Amino acid sequence: MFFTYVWRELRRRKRQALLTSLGLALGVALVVIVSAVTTGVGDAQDEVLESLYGVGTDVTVTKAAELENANVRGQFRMTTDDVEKVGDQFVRDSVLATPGSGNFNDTRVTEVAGVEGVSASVGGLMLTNARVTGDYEWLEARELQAQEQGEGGFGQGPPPEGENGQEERPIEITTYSMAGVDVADVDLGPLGGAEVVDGRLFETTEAKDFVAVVSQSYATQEDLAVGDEMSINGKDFEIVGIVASQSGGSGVNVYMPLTRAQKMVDLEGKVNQIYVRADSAESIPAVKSEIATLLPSATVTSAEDLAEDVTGSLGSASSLADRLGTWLAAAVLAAAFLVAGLLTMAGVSRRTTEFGTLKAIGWRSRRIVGQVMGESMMQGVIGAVVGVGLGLLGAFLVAQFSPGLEASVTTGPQIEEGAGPMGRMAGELLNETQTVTTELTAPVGVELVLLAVGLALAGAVFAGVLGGWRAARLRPAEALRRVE
Amino acid sequence: MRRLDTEIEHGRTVAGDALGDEWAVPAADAVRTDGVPAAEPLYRMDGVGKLFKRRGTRVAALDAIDLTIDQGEFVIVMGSTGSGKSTLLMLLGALDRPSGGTMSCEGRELDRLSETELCRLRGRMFGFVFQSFNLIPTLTALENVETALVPLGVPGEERRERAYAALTDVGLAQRAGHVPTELSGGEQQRCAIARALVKDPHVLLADEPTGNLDEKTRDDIVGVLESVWRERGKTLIVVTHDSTVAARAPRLLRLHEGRIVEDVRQNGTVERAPDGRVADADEGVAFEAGAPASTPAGVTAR
Repeated sequence: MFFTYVWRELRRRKRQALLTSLGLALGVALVVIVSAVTTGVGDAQDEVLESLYGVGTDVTVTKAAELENANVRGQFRMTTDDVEKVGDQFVRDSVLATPGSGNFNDTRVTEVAGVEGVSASVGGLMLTNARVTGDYEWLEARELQAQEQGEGGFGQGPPPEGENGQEERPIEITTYSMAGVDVADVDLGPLGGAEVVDGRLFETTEAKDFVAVVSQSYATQEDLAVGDEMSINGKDFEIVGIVASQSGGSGVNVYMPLTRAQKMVDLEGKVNQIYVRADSAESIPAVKSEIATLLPSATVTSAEDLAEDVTGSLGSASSLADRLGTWLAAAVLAAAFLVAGLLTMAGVSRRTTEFGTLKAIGWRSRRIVGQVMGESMMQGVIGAVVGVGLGLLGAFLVAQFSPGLEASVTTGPQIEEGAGPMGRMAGELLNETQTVTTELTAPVGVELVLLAVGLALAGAVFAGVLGGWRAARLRPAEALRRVE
Repeated sequence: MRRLDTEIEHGRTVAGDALGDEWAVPAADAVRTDGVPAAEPLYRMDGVGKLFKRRGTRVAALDAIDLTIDQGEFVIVMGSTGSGKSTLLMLLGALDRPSGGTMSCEGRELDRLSETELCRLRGRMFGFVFQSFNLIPTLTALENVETALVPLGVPGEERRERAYAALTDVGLAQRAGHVPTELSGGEQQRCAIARALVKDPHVLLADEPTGNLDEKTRDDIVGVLESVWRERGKTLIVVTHDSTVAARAPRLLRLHEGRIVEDVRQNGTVERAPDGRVADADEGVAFEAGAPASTPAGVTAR
């Protein structure tokens, strides 16, 4: 009788039942989509962070440079003696440890490894190479002219002008980033999370060798392959491997053994990054805190902190999903609840005679409330099924048609106002702004489906309670008098 | 129709089981065997009033009603619109509470019962028939009749059997599977009567049961109600405007502005056979129009 009555009533009031169910379905679908996208954005963020940060790295430790070091001033002078001639072009590499970054003695790495909750730590040295290339004859002419004027070389006097008064570009400056990697543990540190596309990673015996691993994007750009040699700061390095970061990130272009990197910039025994792996995810906050105590002047960052600094479309998507999406879903869900409640109450009002009659023949309020609740729950079930279906479809469409997400994290130095041209150029060019692109997914798990079903049923209970409350308050005499 | 004693026995057993001994009906009260009213009347109303608030002012729908109704009586309540007859019916059916005075049914003071107790009482004791039939539009005739047995906790199979039997009693068995919109007005009212009777109530209360029916159907329905009163020994209280219907009852109450202005026994002596049935003219007991009633129902007309 109960189910027959429920089902027939819903069929009789098809439009209202459909509206209520669709309202709940829409709210539920939005929750599914927003939650799926939020999860997808979170996954993308994790992927990006792993790519920028290194898989398996839980905490990184860096240090801001002393003020005088950060304020990179200088004159950009260059003579034919300083450059390497390649054909009719000159090439000059200027390798710097990341400006603005302070250095640690590598003994600190061992100290950090001794912190409770730390399972491993390695040091890394992030470098940037500013490569200046240009016409060799032009450089010779400029050098001769400078000598006649009693100046030292290129970098003095007004910039050369072209035929139309436009500034000529006789030289080209390109930069790429490099990382010194501790060959004893390549899985932790800059190479963690990198996928070997060709060749191999470093071996533990190659600590002092002139070997390099390059990123796939850089190898493609410079037409490099495993077995080739590349010149860095006048030294030839053999390329032993090509790696692709998980998301095709363009963070570090060239990796070399840590010892080689240290020697290249005269920073033997120094590192500017310490990568830490914690025992477990739960111990990360404690590890952070311990390291901060151990190294008070250092900046201790976890992936979670870095996530807050992510900019670009991924950052926007994350913000959009967190704020607008959540609020939109909540608002639609609340509206759906309200509409369902109001429609159910209106439905009860229209059925005053019916419920009055049932009360007259002895139906207790409890039973009538149960009937109203049953009808509401049935609408909730329909809403849940349709809502989950719509949500799955929406999540699929979002994942299918969303553009790739781009994430940038800038961890470079702050260059002071008034820094010299070289300093500004170095600061701007050598800032560690790493950009990674990734695809947005919108995974819908069992938990999310259960949440959606639960929400739809909660909406139905809410509507049923409102309608039931109204039905329970009906006094049979009044209900019948209204009609008779 | 089936034998009355069997049905009553059946109904009492169910009511007693479902509602507890408190509500079990003594066999002696269920059917009068000698035509003499029991010592305790079915209803007793002393100074009962009912006030309603309308636009901030109190309106007396009923005013100081003193009334007794015995078991097995057939009472017609007449009066102009707004005279309070439907309100009286609501009070008699435990659908409402009086605003003042005392009122008892089978010795129980209705104005002191909780809502739950009133609900139980309605489920067991009273059968209602409405002018607009008030059938559930989505349920078939059979299912509509079943709804009256739901509060009694009658199991599904038995519920269907009893509902079908009730429909058979009112001559609607062949339409059991039809929803109300597929039934004529007369059929719908028959269905409503079956719903009222299926639980074997003590009292059948009908509010303008023929108000929406044509003349022929009206006679059919009145015939059905009358046979329930005659053959089953039920107390029948009918509110009507129809003087033709009113002429068929032994007792007539007339209300005006909330007061009983006339209480007459118009059809003479009413006698019941040992099984509770009222003998009809063919059986030698006539309803003699205009003759004084022999039932000593204590009625005070005000």
